[in-house]
Amino acid sequence: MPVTLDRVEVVLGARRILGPLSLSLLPGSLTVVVGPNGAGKSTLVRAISGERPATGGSVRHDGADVAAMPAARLAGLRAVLPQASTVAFPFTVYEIVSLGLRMRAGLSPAGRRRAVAAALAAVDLEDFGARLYPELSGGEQQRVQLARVLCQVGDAVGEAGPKLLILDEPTASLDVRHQLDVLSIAKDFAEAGGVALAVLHDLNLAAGFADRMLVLDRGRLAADDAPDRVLSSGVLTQVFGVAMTVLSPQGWPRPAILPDLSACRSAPRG
Amino acid sequence: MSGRAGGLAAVRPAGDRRFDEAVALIVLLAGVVLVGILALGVGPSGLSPARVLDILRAGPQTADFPSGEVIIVWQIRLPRILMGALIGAVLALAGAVMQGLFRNPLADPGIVGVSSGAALGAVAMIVLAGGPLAGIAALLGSYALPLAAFCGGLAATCLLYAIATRGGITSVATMLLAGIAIGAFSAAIMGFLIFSSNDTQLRDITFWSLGGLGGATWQKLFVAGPVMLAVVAAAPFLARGLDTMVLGEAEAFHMGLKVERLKRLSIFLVAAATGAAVAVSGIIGFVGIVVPHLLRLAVGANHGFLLPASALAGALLLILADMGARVLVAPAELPIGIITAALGAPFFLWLLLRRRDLTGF
Repeated sequence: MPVTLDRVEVVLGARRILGPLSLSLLPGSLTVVVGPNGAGKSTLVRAISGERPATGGSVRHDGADVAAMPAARLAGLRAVLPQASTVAFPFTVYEIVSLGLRMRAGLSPAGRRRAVAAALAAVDLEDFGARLYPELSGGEQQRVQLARVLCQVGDAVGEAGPKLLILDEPTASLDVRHQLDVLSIAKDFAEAGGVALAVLHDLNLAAGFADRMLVLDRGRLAADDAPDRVLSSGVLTQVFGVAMTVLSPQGWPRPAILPDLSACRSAPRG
Repeated sequence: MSGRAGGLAAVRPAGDRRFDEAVALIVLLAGVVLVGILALGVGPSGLSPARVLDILRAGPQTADFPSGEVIIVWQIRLPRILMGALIGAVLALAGAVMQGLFRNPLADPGIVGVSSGAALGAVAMIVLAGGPLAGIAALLGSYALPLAAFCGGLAATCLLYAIATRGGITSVATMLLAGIAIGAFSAAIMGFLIFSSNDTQLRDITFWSLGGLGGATWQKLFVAGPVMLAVVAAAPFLARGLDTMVLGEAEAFHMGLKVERLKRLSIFLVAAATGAAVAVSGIIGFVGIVVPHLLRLAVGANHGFLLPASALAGALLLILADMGARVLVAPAELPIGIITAALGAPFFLWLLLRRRDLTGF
């Protein structure tokens, strides 16, 4: 059991933001979290990454409590792609991506160069090494950050077992092709034996790539199932308060979902 | 040899600027030494660099040269130039570290009130040494003033960080405005202390607040020098952490950095650097904002380079500014703070306008 959540809850003052919820994230699968604004997605991600530990229950990575783990050890087990990162200083893309190698002490200089080059190639930015990060577009910056995160995790399975890759709304500023690229990278990571977790707003991307879909609503788990079953259950209509039609286009491997544009304001809120 | 150099260039990946950074550091180091020797000869009685080197080699007790020249080089100009170099180094370092900590190129101890806090500490020590702080002043001797300035700077930095940073995100506007408030409040208390001081204290304060390096002696250098050297030596240990911090506190944590520890060390370092510099020379502004910014533009932003390079370039700038202070209105002397402010304030405005164009600020 690489990543297990046991009765995890986050309560701030009198407000319950998340949980209690218990689940396991398994190696080999890409889990996607969806839910309306304020459902607790980011809070869940922060609790799993150890950034803001849960106020109750425990998150364990290979049996070890994430809240009690030193930052350096956690950094060797999981990497997190943030929603957006601004950098105020003129660092080059190469320098930003190399930051991801900070905790990987065993690499030779040649190994470090190769790791950075491979990560830049993976995000389709081979020739961007010498560009200054603050001068890139939002989408390019996001891909540089993904390359940095890939440098940090290295292989999907390390000596200590499968690693965890967390992507927090990775597609927000990306064009459609690079949205697909990023999720393919997450999918490859899972297929190589790692644990992949992504927060997404785009339900079709979620349905297209997820092995498992978690639907959060007001801090609770409204659904936890394979994407096609989640889509057909009607839970999304209920949670988002928008009528949705599930389509199964001929020749498409996965179902697609369309919100009812005309009824979105008057749809019943579950 | 050239084949080897070509080979090295070939394996150096695009965007890896460590080679350029190493070259820049060597050039800066050579510049500090050369300008330092030049500065030893410049002044009311001019000496050629060759003669300066001869006198330096002969030692402070030598009888081979006119005693006036030996005293000028060894007792007057050398401590002054060493002090200037150290002050410039720690001021530029304090700026670079603060900018890394706040992830903002506009942070500087002089602009955001840290220097004012340190100055308040120094003035409080001068005025209250005859009263409430008499015991402490007697105990610490000549260390009392630097220590008081350090405590003032530390308090101001902590206050600033607490006000301007929320949830790991620093607001530039809040930082600059809080800096104004901290500076004004410090000035008010300083004003009150000066108002209630007696004639001797007033003379001490005036002498100290004129700033400049005119009062630099070996004895003062021995008091403040070790602190400043310690700051310069400690700064490189923050480099990797500050690099990681450029992405934000959460990302730094995700990459394995002990964020709180880095913040505490940085704040401590900034306060020590500013406190030591202010205690010796009063407030010398803008070194910390001009130097790191030019280095980032010209060479690179990596803190492994930026911190030592800021120290060297800061030393270079202050030696040059002090040379200007001694020469421009000779035989009188300009306070050095006038020169750094005259150069630095327009530069700061230019930086602000450029940011406004870029980001709407």
